[in-house]
Amino acid sequence: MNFELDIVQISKVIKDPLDNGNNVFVVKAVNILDMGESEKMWTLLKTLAEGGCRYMIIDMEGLEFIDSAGIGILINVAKILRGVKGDIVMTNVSSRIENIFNPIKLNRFIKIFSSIDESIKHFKMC
Amino acid sequence: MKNYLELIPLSPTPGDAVNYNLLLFRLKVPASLDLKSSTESLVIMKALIAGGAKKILMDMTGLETVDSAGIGTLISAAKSMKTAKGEVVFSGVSQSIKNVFRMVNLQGFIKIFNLEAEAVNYFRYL
Repeated sequence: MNFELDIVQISKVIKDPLDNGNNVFVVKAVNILDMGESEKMWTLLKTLAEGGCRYMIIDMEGLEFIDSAGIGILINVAKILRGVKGDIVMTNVSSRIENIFNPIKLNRFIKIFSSIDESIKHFKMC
Repeated sequence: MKNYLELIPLSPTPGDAVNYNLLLFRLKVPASLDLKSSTESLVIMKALIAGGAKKILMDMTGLETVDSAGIGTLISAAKSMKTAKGEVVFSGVSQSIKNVFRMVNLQGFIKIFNLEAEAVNYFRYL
């Protein structure tokens, strides 16, 4: 299973390329995030978050199925990142997946944006 | 630019805790490692290493060009890995890239394997 990772700079004026206050990690969610499949995703996100990543975007374009274990990952990563004054947001969430998030009001805890550019704008204000 | 990352468990681990000694991160190197594109790989690797990763395999099958900045990032990543008591190795290096590495004697510093399976095997008994 391959994870797609992308680094986007918040400000184009780069002082230090290794400064994670300016780097946004865009992680593409795999197509199934359930109890069996989500362990690797959790390991990856946890490693990145503990390794100094502050801003993270989860691109949910390819996500087809998510259960409580997958939602738990998002909440746990959000907690780690907010501990270091970072943030996590989601983009490209399909309406079917959004219906799962609505009853537990996940969109109040983790912001949802329609595109990656809008999420970068949100991080600029942070 | 997309970076592809894969997590390969070297042996089944009991419990929920992540054992980084039994977990291999396989990073696919993009087609060129130059001044512009190498920082992304470096940001990802630094985050992984700081997050606790001990074993990183860089899959260089797609690599076509590498310049001094690219070699610099490879050495910088390998160096921070050595201080963390882990190891970075390469696999699938093409002959032309090997010639570049030989000139700077990189193979004395970082192990190079022909096949991915050899590298995975090496990590398994490390």
